[in-house]
Amino acid sequence: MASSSKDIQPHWRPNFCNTSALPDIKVVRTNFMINFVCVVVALVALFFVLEREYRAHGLIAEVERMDQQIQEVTPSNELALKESEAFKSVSSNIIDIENFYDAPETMHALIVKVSKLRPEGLSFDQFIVQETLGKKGSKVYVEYKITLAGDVEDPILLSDFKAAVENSDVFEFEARGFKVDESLMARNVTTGIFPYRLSILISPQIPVKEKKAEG
Amino acid sequence: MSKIDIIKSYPLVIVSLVITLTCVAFTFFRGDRIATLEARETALYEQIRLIEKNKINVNGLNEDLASLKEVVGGIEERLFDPEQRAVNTRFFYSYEDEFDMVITKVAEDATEDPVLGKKGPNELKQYSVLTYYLSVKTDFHEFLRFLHTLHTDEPIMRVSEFQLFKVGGKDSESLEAQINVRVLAKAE
Repeated sequence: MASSSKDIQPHWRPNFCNTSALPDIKVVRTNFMINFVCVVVALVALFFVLEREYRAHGLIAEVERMDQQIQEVTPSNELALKESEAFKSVSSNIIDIENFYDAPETMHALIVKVSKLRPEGLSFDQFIVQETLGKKGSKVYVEYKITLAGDVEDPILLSDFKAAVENSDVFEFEARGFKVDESLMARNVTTGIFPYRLSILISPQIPVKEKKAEG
Repeated sequence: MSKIDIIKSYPLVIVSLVITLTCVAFTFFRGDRIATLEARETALYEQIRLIEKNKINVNGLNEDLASLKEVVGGIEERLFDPEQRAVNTRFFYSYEDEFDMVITKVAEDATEDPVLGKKGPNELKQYSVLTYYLSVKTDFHEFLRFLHTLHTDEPIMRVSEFQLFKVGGKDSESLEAQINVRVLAKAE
């Protein structure tokens, strides 16, 4: 026997009530809360999307403006780069000149300065300056060795000379320290004088002495 | 109550759900658009900053370049020509006319300079260097004057090493010296 869904009788209930057919008799209705929450969620989602679109729109405008700005200044920038490249190329010649003259001191000035430190009674028979390469790890550096040899009447003069060399500013060069070694040979029995040798090593590997404060 | 009835009783919920799902789908498909645009904006901003920096740096560069070229032109005129060996050697012997000294030897070192040559600590890129060994006999005053002249003369030269020996008796003023002179030359 065919029948419509309206004719279907609800299941039997102990309290004889068909709740789905009964009206909503709650004192505080709650249906509106579901609507409210859904609408809020939808509005939040919509705001999020619109805000992003607005930002994207602003960014597109900004990118286009920047693109245009770059296109306008590109020719002058390329010219500037060319000039800069030319300057760099020419300045490498000057760097070569600096490298060529890179030494702590000119030789004639060095001889004069060292000679001024020499005490009376100490003579120079040899004055040698050598330039050598040193190596530490992969770093190669240039060292200078000054060797002085001659005669000294009194060994104390050699000590005085060494002290004068150590305390003078003649060998104070930027980023290069120095150390002094001296040796005294046996006295010449005929003349009574002592042959000596004093060497000064100037190297970037030797720590630079700190200047004492003047007071 | 059927499902249709439930849907009919909550029309706002359904509309909200549709809007929310559309927004989620929209965000999903265009999610990286903002990030891409922001990255492009940052790159362009950096490019503009660089261009502006270039503009500032290039200020007055043209004049500096012109004066630098003039200086370099002056240097070029002072360079030794490595091919002109005889002329170069004669140049050193000509100092005998100017100084009270005897130049006993002028020899050119054929090996590459370890300091200024390739891979040296002061490697030259635009020029080459010639090293000459000079042996001279003179006195102290003339020796100093000679070293000073080598430093200040027209060719670009530098004394890199020397050995100075006193010769003769104790009271003798005669000196013998071996001098290593580096001369800046045209690139070979």
